[in-house]
Amino acid sequence: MALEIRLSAVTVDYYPGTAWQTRALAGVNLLVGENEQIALLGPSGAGKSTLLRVMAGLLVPGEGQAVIPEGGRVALALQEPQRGFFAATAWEEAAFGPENLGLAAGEVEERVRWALGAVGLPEEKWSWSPFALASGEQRRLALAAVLAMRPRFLLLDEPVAGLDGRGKRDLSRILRELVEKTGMTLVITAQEADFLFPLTRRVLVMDRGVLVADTSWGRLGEDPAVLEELGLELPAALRLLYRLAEKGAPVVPGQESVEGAMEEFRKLLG
Amino acid sequence: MVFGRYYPVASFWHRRDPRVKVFVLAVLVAMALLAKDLWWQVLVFAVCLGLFLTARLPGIWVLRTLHSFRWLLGLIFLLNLFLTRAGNPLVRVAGFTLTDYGLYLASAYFFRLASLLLGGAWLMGTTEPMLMVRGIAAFLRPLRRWLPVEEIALVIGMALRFFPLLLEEAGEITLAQRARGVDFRRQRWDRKIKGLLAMVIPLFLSVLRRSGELTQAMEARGFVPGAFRTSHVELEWERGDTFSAGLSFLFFLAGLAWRWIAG
Ligand SMILES: Nc1ncnc2c1ncn2[C@@H]1O[C@H](COP(=O)(O)OP(=O)(O)OP(=O)(O)O)[C@@H](O)[C@H]1O
Ligand SMILES: [Mg+2]
Repeated sequence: MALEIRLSAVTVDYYPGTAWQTRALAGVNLLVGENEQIALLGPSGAGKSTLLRVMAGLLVPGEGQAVIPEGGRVALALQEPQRGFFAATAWEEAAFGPENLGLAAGEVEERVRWALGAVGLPEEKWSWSPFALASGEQRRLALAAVLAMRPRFLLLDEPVAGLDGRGKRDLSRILRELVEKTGMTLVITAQEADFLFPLTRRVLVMDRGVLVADTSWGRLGEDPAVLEELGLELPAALRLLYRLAEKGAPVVPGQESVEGAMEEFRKLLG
Repeated sequence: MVFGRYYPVASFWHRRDPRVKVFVLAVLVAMALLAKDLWWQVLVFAVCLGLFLTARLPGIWVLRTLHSFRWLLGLIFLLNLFLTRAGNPLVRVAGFTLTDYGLYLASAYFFRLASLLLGGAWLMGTTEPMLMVRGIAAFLRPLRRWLPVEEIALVIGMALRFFPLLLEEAGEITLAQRARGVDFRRQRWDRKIKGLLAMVIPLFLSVLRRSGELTQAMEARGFVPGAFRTSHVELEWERGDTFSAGLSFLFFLAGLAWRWIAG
């Protein structure tokens, strides 16, 4: 049977019934299936992290329903995932998740090897302390730690916050390879749409706990008001296409993917 | 977890001068420590409960506060129950003779600790941290000649402020480890121990980091230990403050009298 995450009319309040009550999600409906790549956009405080937590089954909605595949098939890397490091070596850090799933030792080893390899952590560093790694490597180790659970749904909360340009490019490449090889579903939040554009097709936009759009990059560009009102921007490649089209250049600006956009530039340059 | 957080509502107790509230709590602590008598402890507990509810703090907090300290409360109760020899035997359990006096003492200690916890939650729930620092400093003022009173008050205030932050941090780390499959309800004990390590170590590291950051932030803003400081908020004494302080003082006298009569 195909796996899916299904949220129906999900509402989440922090500190319900007290003076600090905050509504973080208000009646969210969402269906996420296999092999989907999804960008989750929204201003700070919109409820993105909360939505990911509900999707990962870490937070039970106050109202509504969340139906989620069980047994480590949904994995979430929280914002600043390296804050959860505790093990003596990078290897043990990555093994913690699959061990918790109750797998046999051989299976755990195989998964850890695969996950550390997939994020490109050099083999000589597998026996290092996680705290001795550079920050970009720590990020990749944190990713490996959730990958080792072999999720079919990988949820990433602000995975590039605090990474330098090189770190971002590395992560982008790692994620694209993962999707190609495993067909896993990705849901990613990020401040910059530029990071998300090459990795995703479907776009969710949130504002104050409400899912205001469930669309694609191409259609998002056709309705610029949605993002503008929230102080967000389209990916730079799409913005440039729209500017060119405005000035009368023969391009089709509403592209769904980074490949499509590149094709337009190529045609323009002849 | 909510223990130790400031709860932003308007109530009689929120409006009170922090000095009065520190005084009220000091009286309560003295009363709780003064007598072992069970009924006295129940009375002190009832007073704490009254303070709590009249401060418009959510009633559910009473249960939550007690629940978060259930191990400590349970331990105190059991130790007294099992280790008291005096009194008339009730039953024998695992080689221990439980006595009626043991049960009486255990209950008294239970209520004593519960009162202290509730009293603490009440003070922290009704007083903003910085005001609390001023209240404590005012209280320590007579000792100014011998002790760095302002620094002590500031340290207490910061510790109080740090506590809720710590709880929040603990919540985040729990979430991060649950995302990696930690499940305390279902797992075997050896996994539980590892899961516990996975909570404690990151929490410890984050405390170190946070306190480092706090020190730096204070130094960057020119904090010099021992320097003279003034405050922007002037404390104002109102009639309600006199009233509360007077009432606490009466309570204090009643406690002394009770102790004197009950021996
Ligand atoms: N642990 C918490 N306790 C109380 N309130 C919270 C908590 N986490 C989030 N909130 C509140 O819920 C709302 C949604 O927060 P959330 O973290 O989901 O937003 P976000 O879109 O991820 O924001 P950001 O881009 O800043 O990470 C905010 O108003 C926030 O203040
Ligand atoms: Mg967030």
